[in-house]
Amino acid sequence: MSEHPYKSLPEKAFWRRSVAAVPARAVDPVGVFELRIDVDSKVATAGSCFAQHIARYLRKSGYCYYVTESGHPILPARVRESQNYGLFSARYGNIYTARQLWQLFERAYGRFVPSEDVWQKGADIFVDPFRPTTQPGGYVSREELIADREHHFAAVRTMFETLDVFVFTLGLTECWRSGDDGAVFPVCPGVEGGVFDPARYKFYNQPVEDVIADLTAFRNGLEAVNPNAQIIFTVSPVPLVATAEPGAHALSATTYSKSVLRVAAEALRQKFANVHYFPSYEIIAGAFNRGAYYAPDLRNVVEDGVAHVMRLFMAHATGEAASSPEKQEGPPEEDEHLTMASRLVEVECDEIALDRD
Amino acid sequence: MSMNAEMEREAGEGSPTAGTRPRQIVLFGDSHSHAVQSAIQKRIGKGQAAPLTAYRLLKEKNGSHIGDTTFEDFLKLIRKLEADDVVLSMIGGNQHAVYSTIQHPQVFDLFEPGEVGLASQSREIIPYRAIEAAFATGLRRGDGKSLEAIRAATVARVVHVIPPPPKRDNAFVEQHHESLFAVEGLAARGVSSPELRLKFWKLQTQVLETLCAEFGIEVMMPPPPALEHRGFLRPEYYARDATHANWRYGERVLREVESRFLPPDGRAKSDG
Repeated sequence: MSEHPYKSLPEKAFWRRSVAAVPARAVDPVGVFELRIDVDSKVATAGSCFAQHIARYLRKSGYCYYVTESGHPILPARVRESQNYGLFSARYGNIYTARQLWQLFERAYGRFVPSEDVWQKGADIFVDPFRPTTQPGGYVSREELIADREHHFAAVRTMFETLDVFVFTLGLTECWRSGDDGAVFPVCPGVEGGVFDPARYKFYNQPVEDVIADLTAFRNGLEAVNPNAQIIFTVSPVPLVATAEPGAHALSATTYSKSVLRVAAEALRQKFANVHYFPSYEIIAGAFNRGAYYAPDLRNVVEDGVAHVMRLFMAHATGEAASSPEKQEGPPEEDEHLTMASRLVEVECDEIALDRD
Repeated sequence: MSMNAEMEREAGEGSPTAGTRPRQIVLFGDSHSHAVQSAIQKRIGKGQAAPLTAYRLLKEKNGSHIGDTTFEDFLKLIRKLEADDVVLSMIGGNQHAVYSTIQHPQVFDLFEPGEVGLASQSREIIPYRAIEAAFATGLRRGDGKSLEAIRAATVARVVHVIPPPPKRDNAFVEQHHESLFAVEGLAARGVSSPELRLKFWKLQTQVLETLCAEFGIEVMMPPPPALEHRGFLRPEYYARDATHANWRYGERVLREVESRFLPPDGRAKSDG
């Protein structure tokens, strides 16, 4: 009997034993994942819309979902949520591309100031081109937008400098960038704000070498401000809603985009000890589940799929099972100051009848 | 007890047209209605008529009663009114004071639409539309429900009276705050800036205007003579606490009501 390398491989190395012959819910495609998160680890999140699920589970799991821009406590918890505070660790909104992540890092430290900084949608409606949907209804003035942006950048710097683990979900390679200075936008100008000008904005579909370069630059930048930071890359399984690649089909464009992101994540994982990869994409998009983790639109991910991802994430990263976020919903936080101020005003209102005038 | 317009009705005043049923005007509110009730009492003391009957929400607290009429009883009362009658609401109105009277330990400010040069870089800026969302949510769930119920209960015109604006004088607010300030240690936090208090009052007013428009309720702004040029309450209308206006303000409201809803011969002659 001849010996060969495959003979000593674990079960997970074989498709039949680890995928085809395993019940769908038991499929665990996690390869090398050596990072361990404990209850005190400050875990920050960013990325495309799928990253919101990771944030949601972490928040309810009893682990430290690290938020440095949580909104002023005078805002009721439900209002802060509606205003996108806590959706991610800072209020940057969806970060779809590697370039957008690197750009955020550079902007937060003042090393890159895009020439285009405010879009005006109405007399008192101003939109941040780099997080156009973050403030519902927009800002009431340019000054307000800039003041909030400065506050946001401070929160972003705090996050990068003090987090223990940064989970980034890579979403897209396609984006639009300014012809002036190369600044990339999360959403094509003209969609959520701004005016599309083909002479000014250029389509940019990141090749794999650019994604690797951006992610490497980010990793190195993060290491410079936080030498102990660990990074988990994961790829969003959510397909492109549309492709702007000339002549491309949305399905083929999605395959290209996800492939590039997967390759880039693996390239960094192999190169840097503090970079890890978690296979969210494989769990949701893998043929083993026969499409069951996608909603009827074949794009959005159903809760069962998210639960599968997070069950494995928690098992591998913490050794514990993931908790269902719905079961651990606590009462909304009340601001202690607002509660006392309410009592105070209430007493005044009651005692005005004592005829103080 | 409710302060009413018995004398006026007995004299047949307030009637839009001779020989027809006199227009009835009723007011219902919480603490801010006290100023109007006090003003009516002053008029009664002088033998003058008042244009309306004012009720205050009846509440029981620590075994004692405040006010005179439950909300349910007021709804029953206004169901009997006719289309030409008027229901004035002074419900709630102090949400702005909750947010902006005492300095929050995490100091903040906000930009109003169109405001420039705030430049309070040392303070956290809360986006205006985030605060607006907080007020809209709170008012819709609270006073908005009451306003909707009033609107649904009567065919009469319903008018919401916007509460008095804040006082500009911080020293006055500090000196006349409720004793609970000290008990709770709130006094040590200090009083917010007058500008912040005015911003919150204006924001609340704007949210209330939107809600009232949605419900089919008219809005009556504070009487202009009671306001400083920047919009604060003039000192002669201060009640001796942090947030309320006095009977003189109530008298101004009565005159505004007379001016809007009564014919010229139905108005009080005295300057109060």
